[in-house]
Amino acid sequence: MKRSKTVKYFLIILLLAGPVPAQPLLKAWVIEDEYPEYEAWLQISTAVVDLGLPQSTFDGKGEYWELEEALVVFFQCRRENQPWQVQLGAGDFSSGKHTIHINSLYWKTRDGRYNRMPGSGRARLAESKDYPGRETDLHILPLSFLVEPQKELIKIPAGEYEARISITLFFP
Amino acid sequence: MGDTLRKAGKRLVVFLLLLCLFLQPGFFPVAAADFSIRLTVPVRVEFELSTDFVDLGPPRTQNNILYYEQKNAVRLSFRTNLASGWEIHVTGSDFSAGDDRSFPVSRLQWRIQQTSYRPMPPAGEYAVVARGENTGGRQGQGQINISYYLELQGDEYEGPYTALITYTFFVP
Repeated sequence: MKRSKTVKYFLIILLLAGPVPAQPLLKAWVIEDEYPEYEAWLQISTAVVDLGLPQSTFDGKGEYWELEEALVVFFQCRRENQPWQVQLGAGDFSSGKHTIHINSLYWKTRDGRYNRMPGSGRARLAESKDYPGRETDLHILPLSFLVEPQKELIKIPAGEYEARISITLFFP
Repeated sequence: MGDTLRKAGKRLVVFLLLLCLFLQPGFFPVAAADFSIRLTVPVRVEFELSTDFVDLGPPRTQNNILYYEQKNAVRLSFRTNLASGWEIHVTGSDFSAGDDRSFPVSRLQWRIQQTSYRPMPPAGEYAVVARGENTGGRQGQGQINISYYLELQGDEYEGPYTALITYTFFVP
């Protein structure tokens, strides 16, 4: 009787503790957000997108930064008839006291065209009505990013610039 | 004794169960799906001289002094996106007629705009022409006109003399 109780407790502990060692492995390459009340979740493939150094335009007159499919967004809302929307939210690029306005940032999904980030720093990435009949499927969105400075590079103070971007699944 | 041990064992099991529940990934949902997007604005410096050859022209006399003067002989134009300090240095080689005939470059005097003439540094040394000391966000940009004045001392052999004057834009 005592042994069976001990075994039972042991099994419960094992069952509950099982996912714990796996968690760091999962976190090492994804950032996850869960919305249990909507049976929904969202993950992104990386915590940092480094666009590096600028490239020259074809005519050699301009410069830009670009990284194709720099980040992948995975998300799913399993609740039927639940409208959803995925939004990008961003602040300006900054390096100390210097900034590059966020509307220099463009983004696109695979096979799409580049969309300019509005000055408000908020853009719609995807919406349930874009996927009729597939709203509850798992969605995978590879995102590419491009930054086109609005003035000559020599007029932008040199340095490493960083912008914080958040990807959020909204339920209106 | 047995009862005490049993109670302690039960408490341990309850503690372990609570610990496991506390560590569950679903119990504490990971926060927002945020990421950073980074880019590097490289240091850019544009620096040019209006000419690569200055002829001081025919000698002039004033108060029995034989001299050469060329006002605004060279214009230095520069632009940089460095927000920190920078300096423009000048250095020169001695005047030489191509053989043993030579005289020190320090006999040549120079000035910026309407400031007073000052002697060139001896060959191998440099003088600071302009300096941008931590411009605090204002990028360096400007033009400097340089005038030259050379007074003969009477110990120079005849002939066409040439000296190489070098301007260098230094960044930290």
